[in-house]
Amino acid sequence: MIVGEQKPINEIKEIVAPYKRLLILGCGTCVKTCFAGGEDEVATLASALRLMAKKEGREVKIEEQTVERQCEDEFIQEAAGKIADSDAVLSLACGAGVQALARRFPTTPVLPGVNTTFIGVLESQGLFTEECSGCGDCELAKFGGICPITRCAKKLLNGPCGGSKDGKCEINNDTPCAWQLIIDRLKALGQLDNLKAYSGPKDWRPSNSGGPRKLLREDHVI
Amino acid sequence: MRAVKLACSSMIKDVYLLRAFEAGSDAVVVLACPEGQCRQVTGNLRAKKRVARVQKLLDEIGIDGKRLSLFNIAPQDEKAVAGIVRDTLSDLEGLGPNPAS
Repeated sequence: MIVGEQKPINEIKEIVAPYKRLLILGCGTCVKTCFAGGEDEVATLASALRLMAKKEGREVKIEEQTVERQCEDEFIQEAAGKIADSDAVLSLACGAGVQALARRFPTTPVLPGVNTTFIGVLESQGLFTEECSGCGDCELAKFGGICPITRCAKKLLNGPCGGSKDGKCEINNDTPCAWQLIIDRLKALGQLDNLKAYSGPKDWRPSNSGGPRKLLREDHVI
Repeated sequence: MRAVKLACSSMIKDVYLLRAFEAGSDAVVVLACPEGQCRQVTGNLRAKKRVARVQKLLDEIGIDGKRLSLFNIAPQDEKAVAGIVRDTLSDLEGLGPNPAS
């Protein structure tokens, strides 16, 4: 899932300051599961912004709505009515959702309320960890299901740097050494020989470094 | 003074606490069962985390997190409740009315 964190309330206050009729639009998928932008977070933020406005003697009308996913037209359209009655939309979706909304409603300012950070998982209660960089050329089969591009600070493909201490990365000793994890996992799988094959320099063209990517499925175009 | 009864303090969502202030409350007190005695095991611990989060948010928006508090009391302990209400009203003399009311 995409993980993000809601922006600090005072930053959001500055972003929405010019607008008198605001819609806070939440998303029921990724940002809901990382507690950044689901319906509960929309309600809490709306209430907090109203309290701030009241305290400062400002008039502001704040509407609330959450759709299943802000990256899909059929769900975004459900917000059309409320968007038409608003001066601006504060989207609590990831960057993709904010932009999808902006594209479909080009005459209404669409503002971000969440800082989108990474593709990751819920590792344990309350803890989200980054797992995938979207490099476009997945080699997890070779590495026993642990990604050295994302989880090794140096993105090494041919074994550890030797700087780890007690299984932790030399760059940050809260971070497990990805290569320690890879070696341990491949041993458990009986596949340590995978590492005998040399990995050449990575071709980064399928990744974002070549500009924004597209995927066209002709078989789905009528 | 208004009392809202819930089956467990963990049923409190952050937004309910904020809406109490939106409705004009000067202070909000959450009463939860003693730690270790929650029938839902961790309900009162969740309530504690949420109250802490909303206290911090209230500070950030300038309402003063001291207006929100959580106390662990045994069920039916009316004497404890009376003491908490008295102390809260006394603290309010220093805090003043809700600046957003």
